[in-house]
Amino acid sequence: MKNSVIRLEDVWKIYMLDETEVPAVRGIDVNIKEGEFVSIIGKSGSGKSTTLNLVGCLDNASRGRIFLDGKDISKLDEKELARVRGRKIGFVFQTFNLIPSLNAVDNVKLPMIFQGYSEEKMEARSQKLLEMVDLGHRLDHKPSSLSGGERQRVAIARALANDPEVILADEPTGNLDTKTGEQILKFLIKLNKEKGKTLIIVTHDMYVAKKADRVIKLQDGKVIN
Amino acid sequence: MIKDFFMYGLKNMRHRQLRSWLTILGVVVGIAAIVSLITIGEGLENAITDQFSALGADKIRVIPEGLTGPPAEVSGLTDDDVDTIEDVIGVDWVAGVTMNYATVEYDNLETIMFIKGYPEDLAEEGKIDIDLGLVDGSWYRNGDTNVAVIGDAVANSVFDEEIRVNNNLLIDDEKFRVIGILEALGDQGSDTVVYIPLDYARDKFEMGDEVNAIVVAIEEGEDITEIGDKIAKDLERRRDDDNFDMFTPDQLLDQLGSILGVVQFLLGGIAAISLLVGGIGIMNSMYTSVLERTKQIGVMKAVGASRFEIMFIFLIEAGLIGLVGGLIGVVMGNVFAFAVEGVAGLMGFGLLRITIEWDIVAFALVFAFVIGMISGVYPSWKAAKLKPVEALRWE
Ligand SMILES: Nc1ncnc2c1ncn2[C@@H]1O[C@H](COP(=O)(O)OP(=O)(O)OP(=O)(O)O)[C@@H](O)[C@H]1O
Ligand SMILES: [Mg+2]
Repeated sequence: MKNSVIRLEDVWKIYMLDETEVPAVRGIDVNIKEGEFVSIIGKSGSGKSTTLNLVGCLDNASRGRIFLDGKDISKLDEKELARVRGRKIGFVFQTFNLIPSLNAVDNVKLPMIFQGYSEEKMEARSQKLLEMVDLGHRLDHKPSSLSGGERQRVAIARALANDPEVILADEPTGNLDTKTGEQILKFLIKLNKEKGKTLIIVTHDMYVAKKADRVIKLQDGKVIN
Repeated sequence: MIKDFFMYGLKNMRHRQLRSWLTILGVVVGIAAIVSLITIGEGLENAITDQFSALGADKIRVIPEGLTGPPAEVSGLTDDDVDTIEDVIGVDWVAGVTMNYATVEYDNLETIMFIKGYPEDLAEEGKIDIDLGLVDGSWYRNGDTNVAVIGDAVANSVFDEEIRVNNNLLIDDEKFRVIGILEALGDQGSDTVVYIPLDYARDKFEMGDEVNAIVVAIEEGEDITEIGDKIAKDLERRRDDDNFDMFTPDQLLDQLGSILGVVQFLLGGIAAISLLVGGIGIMNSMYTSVLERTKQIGVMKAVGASRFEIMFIFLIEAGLIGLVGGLIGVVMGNVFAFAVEGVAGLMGFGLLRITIEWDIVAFALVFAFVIGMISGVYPSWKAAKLKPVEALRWE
């Protein structure tokens, strides 16, 4: 039996829009084990992104509890949450979210800066990671001079910077053409298979979803099977 | 880590080029204004202090009442007053001086100039009313008549041709030989002076035993205020009136000092306003800068930046903008001050001596850095407070 890395217990997220409550996530129970590859699917507005953001500590749940490595994250203060985001989780976004003023190497370095590594270590590691995603020849390119697929590969390298246990990807192929998307997917799956990273991918694409060990389907903020 | 934050700030500034420069420009203007205004103010103060110290801190001047400057139509002072003052204990020497305007001609050029009749016995001993040496020649002696010692401006700038020792001037159509040339004091007015022997001046301008001013040198170690009081008392007793004014350079300097204080206060006020404007400029720019990059802040938070670190990054960037602006502003402020000195020199006010005021430079740099930081505090605090999702949602 592998350990549970992520566990959600009756998690709710209710947004307030001008006094009216908008429940985006309504009582989700999920358990994800170490090294598992899970995809989350569901219609637009079903609460996929909201759920992923809650797991990634980018937002806080309205109700219920989320455990990362057995620790209840609602009990963490802001500084501890920053540590969790920095060390345990690597995020890959649909819109890449690279820093435009920084080149590829510096973008990959960014998560390491906040962990206080030495310059040499950061430099070496970000180069290694960029080479791993076949971008060894694009080290000092800024995002504006990279293609969409290249940008997403920089983002993947960045997500790996602090060697996190969990990779969270919210529609990572959503802004890419099919072929480029497949390539990105290959890289992500490689992380799961070869490096044993726990991988959660939110997607609309059944082709992507079917590659996962397990598919979680959301509807109106609830898990349906 | 801090080094990385600095690098990040620098890279961002480079990336934002034009906007960064516009922000920096705001700081430059404010800092340049404060540096140049204060530096010029200091230069002005130096100039005035210098000029008055040339009058000698140990000398009292007595002039007829109500007269602040030469020449006197009717003088209330005579040799009797000079004698009275000479008898006061603690007085070193006393010079009765006449002052008249006359036409002075040299090299076929004619101009009206200020002629000082100064006692030849004192001149011979080097006891002069102002602390200026001679750059050339010598002072006149007892018995000399048609000789003159001239100021720097008379020798070098009033006439087209330079006047040297042994050249002749015509003063009211009478020939005078130049025997000495004074050092420059700095301003056109004080340097445009011609000294001639007192006895001869009195004959020439029909002054009788009158003098226009009495310069009193105090013996070393004596208290100038005390002696001044004694002189005033003795003069009043002998003359049976108090139709005279007395002043010491210190008193004048005090008065001028307070005027100067007002001027400097005004200059400082203008500088402060420009700084304020500069500060608001940085604030505005920092605010937009942070707002524009809200999404980036979300990214930084998502990859592990804490609230404190986000604030720190933006504060450093704001501080850097302040510092770069401050450096340029300090250079420009000094350049401007020196330019003003140059222009003042061309206009005959060569007294204004600008020196780089290092304490103001240091202050300006620290100030620019700090104002940059302060302007950055609010927007970065606001930005750092956002939840990562909220920041990431920003478009
Ligand atoms: N900040 C917010 N304020 C109010 N309502 C929100 C907010 N964010 C999301 N919602 C609502 O919550 C619900 C779930 O949104 P979410 O972004 O999780 O959907 P999703 O499954 O990721 O959809 P998509 O596939 O389009 O990305 C939606 O109805 C959305 O309108
Ligand atoms: Mg979504």
